[in-house]
Amino acid sequence: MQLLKARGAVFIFTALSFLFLAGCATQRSLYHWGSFPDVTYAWLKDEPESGDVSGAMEEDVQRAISKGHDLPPGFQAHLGLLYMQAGQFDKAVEYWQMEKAAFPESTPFMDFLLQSLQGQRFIQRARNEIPRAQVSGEEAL
Amino acid sequence: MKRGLLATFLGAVVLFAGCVSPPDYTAFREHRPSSILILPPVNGSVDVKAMPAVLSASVKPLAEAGYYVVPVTNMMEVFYQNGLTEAVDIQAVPPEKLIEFFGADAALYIEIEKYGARYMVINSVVEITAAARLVDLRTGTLLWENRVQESISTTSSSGLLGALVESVVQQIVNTVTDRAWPASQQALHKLYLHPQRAVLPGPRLDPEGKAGRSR
Repeated sequence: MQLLKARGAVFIFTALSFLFLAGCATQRSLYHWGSFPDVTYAWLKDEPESGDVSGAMEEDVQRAISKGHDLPPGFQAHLGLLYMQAGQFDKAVEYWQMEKAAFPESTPFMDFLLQSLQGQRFIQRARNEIPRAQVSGEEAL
Repeated sequence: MKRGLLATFLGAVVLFAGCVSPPDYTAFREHRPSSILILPPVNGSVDVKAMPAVLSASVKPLAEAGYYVVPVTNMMEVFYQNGLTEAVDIQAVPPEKLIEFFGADAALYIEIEKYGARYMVINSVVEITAAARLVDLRTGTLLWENRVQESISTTSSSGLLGALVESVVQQIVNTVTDRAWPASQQALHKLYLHPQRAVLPGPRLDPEGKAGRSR
């Protein structure tokens, strides 16, 4: 009889522990992550791009919108970086401003990136309009 | 009666033996950051993929803990453009510069000790060992630190010959499929969020900073 009581106590204790841990594990995600962790990993490895990365990320954006989920910190910033590297400066600006709007903590960094981009566009325009020899200030950034 | 009670008591002792005393969260509570800058980890392993893996796998756990994580790719681009490519040099950048460029409250300094699939004759083990320190950028105060040691066995043969063969095959498979990448995500999740030593919840999860007061 007493042995059964002890077993019962152990069982209840174990059951409660599992319930507690299970409760901890089912916390909802704050963001829609999609391909972002893999995309980040691939970019940092600096391997040749396989497939249309910005296209895949744009699909994630659509999925997040349709599910009503938020995009994670850095998602829109990275997409802006991809567009900048592809020379699509307007889209880069658009995404960096969206990152800033979604995450005010990112303001100093996004402002810095937007400012640097301005400098780059100035140089690009200067290159197109002025003969090469007269363009200077590339190192000024 | 006594035997039953003893069994329960011993069971409880075994269960709690794994619990280390929780770290001191005083400094963390006093300097709660909103945004965290994860600096590229210094790689002490022989695998060049270690830095990209640990850096990118650190983003999700911290973002889900409620922090703004400074975009790591944009951050690396800024360092590259300023002639900084090595993690050792980047981790030596003065805090004032980090605040100026990235607007972060705290920075994470990570060191990777072990990374990758290791051939061990009768097993192929995927291991990740890394240590991280969260430092307040304005005051230099250490807010939090932890270390994770993850070791995943990937063979299951019981006989010696079977194990010898399987470990060779599995080592190749682990390397080709980059098995260390999903293992990193698992390991880094533990590093930042393991119940006994987790980071305090950030403002996006705990806006009033209620958590951690009783710790």
